[in-house]
Amino acid sequence: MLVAVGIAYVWLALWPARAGERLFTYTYEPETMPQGTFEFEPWFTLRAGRSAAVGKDDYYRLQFRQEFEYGVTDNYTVALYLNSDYQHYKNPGTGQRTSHYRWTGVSLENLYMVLNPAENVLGLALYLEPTWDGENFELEQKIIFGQRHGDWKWAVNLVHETEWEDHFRETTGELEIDVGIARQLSPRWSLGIELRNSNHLPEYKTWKDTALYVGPVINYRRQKWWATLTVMPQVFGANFDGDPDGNGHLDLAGHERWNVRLIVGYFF
Amino acid sequence: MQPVLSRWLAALVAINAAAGAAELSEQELAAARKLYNAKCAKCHKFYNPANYTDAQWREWMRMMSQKSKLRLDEAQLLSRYLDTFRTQQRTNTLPDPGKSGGQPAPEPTTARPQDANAAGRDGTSHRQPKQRTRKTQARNWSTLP
Repeated sequence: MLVAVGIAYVWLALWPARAGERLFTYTYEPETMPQGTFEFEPWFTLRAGRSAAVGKDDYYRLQFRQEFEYGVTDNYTVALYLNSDYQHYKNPGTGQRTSHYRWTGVSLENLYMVLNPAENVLGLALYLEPTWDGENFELEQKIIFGQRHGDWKWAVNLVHETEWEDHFRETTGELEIDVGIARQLSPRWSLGIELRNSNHLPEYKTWKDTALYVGPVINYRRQKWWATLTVMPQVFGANFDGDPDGNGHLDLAGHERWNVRLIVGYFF
Repeated sequence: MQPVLSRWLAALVAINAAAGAAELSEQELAAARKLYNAKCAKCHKFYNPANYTDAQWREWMRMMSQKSKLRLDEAQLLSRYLDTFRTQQRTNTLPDPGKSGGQPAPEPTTARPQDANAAGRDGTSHRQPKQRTRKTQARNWSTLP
């Protein structure tokens, strides 16, 4: 299955289309697509490195998303995501390796640009994304700020997400802040830095953990397609319910040591 | 259908460029600014038309019009609007195309510091343009959006 997915990604990477690039992979920018435009974006995310102390040695998780994005109006973009992921880890106690590939549902992104950064001091957009996989439901909300200053561009996202799991028996809240700043180096290349702070709040009763990721982001674009890659190591993390992962300065129980994301965009 | 539309757009842009920037009414200016902000400035910085040859600019206008799904009338209006900046560059008065004060303005007094800043976003000077050489034109071609 993984081989098939890999082949599909390579094929898509060689397939020419037209561009409408994203400069960041974790941080959304406030701009919406022009009305009537359509874009296909395959996403590939690697999350690797959890603690053996929590039973997840050799941990890695590959997340795949296929995004079909359409500009309904100049201020409103809607996107359909098809999600799946592959997880692998070894239980250090038993030595047993676990691998599974699973379908993780469908998401529907709604992005509404309230303030066009080209017309205002600050760009502002609101984002709402429900996800459903048959058993679990997620609702993600973002407030997106951003602006361009010549060759520089920045964006900040305030993110709140609620996950209802096990047929709505369990609830987890997530708070996240994403920041990105990038500079256009040439007509083809942009280089920048992304920062992501993620927090889990089980049942909204306790603040379980926090993790801060920082890393470079690079964007390459052609007239017909673009690609953006972010590589972010966790630089700081903490558990507030003890020290389950045995690591004093990182959270390797609820978060991974590495977050890597590649998005390729094809414009039609 | 797409190639036919493409040729229509190219022809329209070419006709406008050849005829020069026709006078734009206040209503057309407002509509063109709105169009520029919604279809162009939202996605990329301002690229100064004066830095490109007519043929280069026409080709990029054709491609970008297709990309942002401009209707024929929109492509025509935007082409006329942006062409006025080519004229203004030559007369040393280049305002910000996306701002309300950024209407084509033949009088030097209409240029403001922030306009100049915006106009220079593509790394080109908004001051008196120098005579462009073939080499310079080639470099500018490679720096198109």
